[in-house]
This record gives sequence, structure tokens and C-alpha cells, in this order.
Amino acid sequence: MKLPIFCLSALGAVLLIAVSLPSQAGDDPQAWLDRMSSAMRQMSYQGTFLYIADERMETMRITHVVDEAGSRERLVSVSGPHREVIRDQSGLKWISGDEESVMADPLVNWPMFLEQSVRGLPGDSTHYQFKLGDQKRIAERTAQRVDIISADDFRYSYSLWLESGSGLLLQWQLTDQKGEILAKLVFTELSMGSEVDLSELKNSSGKMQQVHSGLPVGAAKSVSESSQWRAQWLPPGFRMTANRAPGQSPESSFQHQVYSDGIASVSLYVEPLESSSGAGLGLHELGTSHIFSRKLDEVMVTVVGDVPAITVEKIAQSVSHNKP
Amino acid sequence: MKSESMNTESINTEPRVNLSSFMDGEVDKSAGSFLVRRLANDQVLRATWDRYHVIRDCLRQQDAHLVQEDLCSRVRQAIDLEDSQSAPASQPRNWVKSMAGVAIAASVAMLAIVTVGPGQQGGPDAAVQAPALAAQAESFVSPNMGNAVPASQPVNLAGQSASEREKAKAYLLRHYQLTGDGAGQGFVALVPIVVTGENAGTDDSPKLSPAAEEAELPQQ
Repeated sequence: MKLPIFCLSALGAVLLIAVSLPSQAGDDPQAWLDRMSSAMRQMSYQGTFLYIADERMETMRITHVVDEAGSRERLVSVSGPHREVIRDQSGLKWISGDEESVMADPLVNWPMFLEQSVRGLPGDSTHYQFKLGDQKRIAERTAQRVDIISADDFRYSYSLWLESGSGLLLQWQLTDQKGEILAKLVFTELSMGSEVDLSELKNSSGKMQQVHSGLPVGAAKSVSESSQWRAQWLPPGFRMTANRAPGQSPESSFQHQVYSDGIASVSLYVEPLESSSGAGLGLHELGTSHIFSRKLDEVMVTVVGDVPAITVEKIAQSVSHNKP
Repeated sequence: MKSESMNTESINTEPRVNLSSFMDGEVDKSAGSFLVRRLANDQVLRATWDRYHVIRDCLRQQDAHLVQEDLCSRVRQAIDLEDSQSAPASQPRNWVKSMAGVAIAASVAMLAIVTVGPGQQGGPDAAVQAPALAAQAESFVSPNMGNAVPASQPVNLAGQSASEREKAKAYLLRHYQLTGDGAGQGFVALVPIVVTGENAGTDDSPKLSPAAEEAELPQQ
């Protein structure tokens, strides 16, 4: 019996990936996290998952393919209003609503799930505790639990269940310091490798009238210590990891800084008051993210992030002009 | 009382029983697909699904890294209130709290389903494990950082206008644009934005048009 060429190619790709992934995580939580990031970045997978947060349960389907054409993804809602996000080498396309309006941006190309190594920043390992938990069955597969427990009230804790064979993420859970579950994502079925149906990468919209997302162009990333506006207080272990200084063009006239402890992160925006629409003054929440905005002299200060409310509020209140 | 309530339920028992396995991904593919279709179209089953999460988590305490006694005591209080024909009064903002405070009491009859089978509930292991985890976590927490609370209560944008949510989404998109290939990207970064970026779950929610999207972005 002859196997089709594409089957052999797929089998070869799976074997190659299996060899290249860290094979033995053992009892080391960090090794399991390394396996996860490698698997999420290198493997093709497809599955249905539930996302539960903020009194809402949504069913989504993801297809993630890595082949000679590069990395491509499609995330589409199974329940609720139609939402569809496609990521490929040309950037991100976001189809929303029944009218299938399309928002596209060639500069935005981040993955649906984390594909980078999960580690605290160098020199800081005291702000999370990494632990292995018990195994359980998820989506007909054995899953290993890994806990990332926050040391304080300024960041959340995470629980991950990783597929024991590959390290793929099967369940994710966000927990606050009191142990309350804020959000949960769990796969109900998962295929990988040659089982992935490539036809599901195709978008559902026949008419793709693309409109730029409006995100600022020139996403050059750098870290500068000479920023005019800076947060004077940060949670222990947080450092500035990215900075976009104000530019001359209308699309880049605001200052944007990112602070992170390697796992959690917040953004600080400083915009001219007269041109800022802001997100409304004070403290807001959207899903598991918090946003705090305040006026300061002639600028609007806004801090956002997937961190507790206290964190964005304290950072925003601490911002001041960094005099040379 | 519980058996009477169960008999008057309008939905079939089998989907409810399967739900408890489904939310941990523990049903096979065909059964899962069936339940996904049912959940998308069956409001009663979906409400049951929401209640199961809180009940299950409190009974099993499998997900409590730290101390979850407060939540579970509220669940038990809700159960007691149901027994005395009283309605719960509190409406905390958190989804877990909310369901614990409001939905659990009304669904106390379903406890019998969730607790069926010794393998499906916490049992002695969970009872021992929860305090142990809590003790470990307590010793790990820096003593000077507990009980930190924001000065103000957050306003949930899910209840605000679509334009307010779009402003917030624009900030989040920019945030992940700059963290997208570096530290702090988040494990499921894009998923919450896709799910919460629109008022999903509310059919009459305003639809995002490209023109509106650009108009609502913060002006630079």
C-alpha cells in the first residue's frame, strides 16, 4: 500500500518536531514550560476550547499550522457572535460581527497562544513559585499540571495543564491571590500533526475588504532610560522591557512603555490631553484586564494590563515627569 | 426536596451529567461536539453549565491553590438560603462570586448530580490537599504585601457602551503589539481580547464597523 506523499511529509514533520522538542521534562516545572513554548511554536494542532470568564462562556476553535509556508493560525468562534482572527505572514485579519467587517494590520503578528519561553526576568526568580501538580485527563489526553504561583497581590497566579506527550497547552487557569478563579480555558478536543485539517485555515468570508486597524505604524521596539514620563513605582520584579517614544507623526505622538516581570506585563501610555480620548477616567476592567486613566498636567496617563486592579492604579498614580 | 426539584427539571438528565465531565475535557470527541451544539442553542443547559463550575470547584476544591474557603462558605450559605426559601442578597462583581451568590442557591438540587460517584468529587484527598496548598502558599507570600486593595472599584466595561470597550481594546491591542514577541505576552493573550472585545453573548450588542474602529481609537 502506498501512502500519499503529503502523509509521509506530515509524518516526517511530526517526527522531526518530536526529536527537536525537549523530550524529558521530568519533575522540573521550568522544563515543562520550555516544552510547552516549543510545542506551541513548532507543532501543528487543531482543537475546540472553552473560554470562561466574567460570567461568560465562549466556545472557540483554533487551527495552528507550521509548515514550509511558515506559521499560520485561525481562531473562530463556535458560539455567540461571529468572531474570526487569521494570522499569517501578511499579518493579522480580524473578522467581526455578522456583517463580517474585516480589520487587518500587517504589523501585528503575535500568536494566539504563548510561544515564547516562560521565565522570570534574569536575576528575578522570587516573585513566582513554580510547582508541578497532579496529572489528569483532558480532551482524551493525559495532562500534567504546572502551577505558577504569584508571591504577592500585584500579579495573578496561573495553572497550566500540558499534554504529557508533547507539552501542548490543554488547560489554562487564571487565579487571584485569594484563590478565586478569574478565567479558565480548556480544550475539549485536540488534534495534532497530520490529523490537522488544513482546510480550516481558510477564512469564512468571501469578501475581505481590509481596513487598517489604526494601530500605530513603525513598531520599532527599544528600551530607553531617558523617557520623559516614567512610573516611579512598580511591583517588585517589574522592569521596563519596551519603550516607544513619541514621534512626529499623528499615529505615534504618544509615549508607550511596557513593564514586565517576564510573565505578567503592563503598558503605560502618556498622551497629550487635548488629543486623548482615553478609556474614561478612573479604574475599569475588561475581561481579566484592568485599565486606569488619570489626567496629569497636560497629559493623560493610562495603564493597562492583565494584572490586578491595584497594580494598574498604583503604577498610574506614581507616574511623574522624569526631569533630566 | 432535592429529588422533587430534579424531577421538575425541564432538561434531560444525560446532558447535565455529561456537562460535569465536559468542562474538564473528559468526554470523547463526538459527545463533546454534541454538547457544544447543545450549549450554543440551549439557554437552560448553558445556565446549568455555568452553575456546575462553581459547584464543582467548591466541592472538589481541586483548583484552590490558595485559600478558597470564603467562596465555598458563600456557596454553602447559598444552599442554606435555598433550604429556607430565601434569596441571596449579595451580587459581587466577579463571575465566580456572582454565580456563587445568585445562581447556586437556585440550583442546589443539581448538587446530587455533581456529587454522584466517589471519583467525581473531592473526597479525602482534596480535603487534605486544600489546607496543605494554602499553607504552602501562605508561607510563600511576602508578609508586607497582603490585603492590597485598589482605592476605587473598577467599572466593568462589559456593561458600558461599545465605544468604551473599543477604546479599551485599542489600548490592549497596542499593549500586546509591543509585548507580542517578548516578555509578558501572556499565555492566552489574544483569546480574551477576541472574546471580550465585543459584547459577545448579547445578541443586540452594537456591531463594530471598521469606520467606527478607527474613529474610536485614541487620537494621537
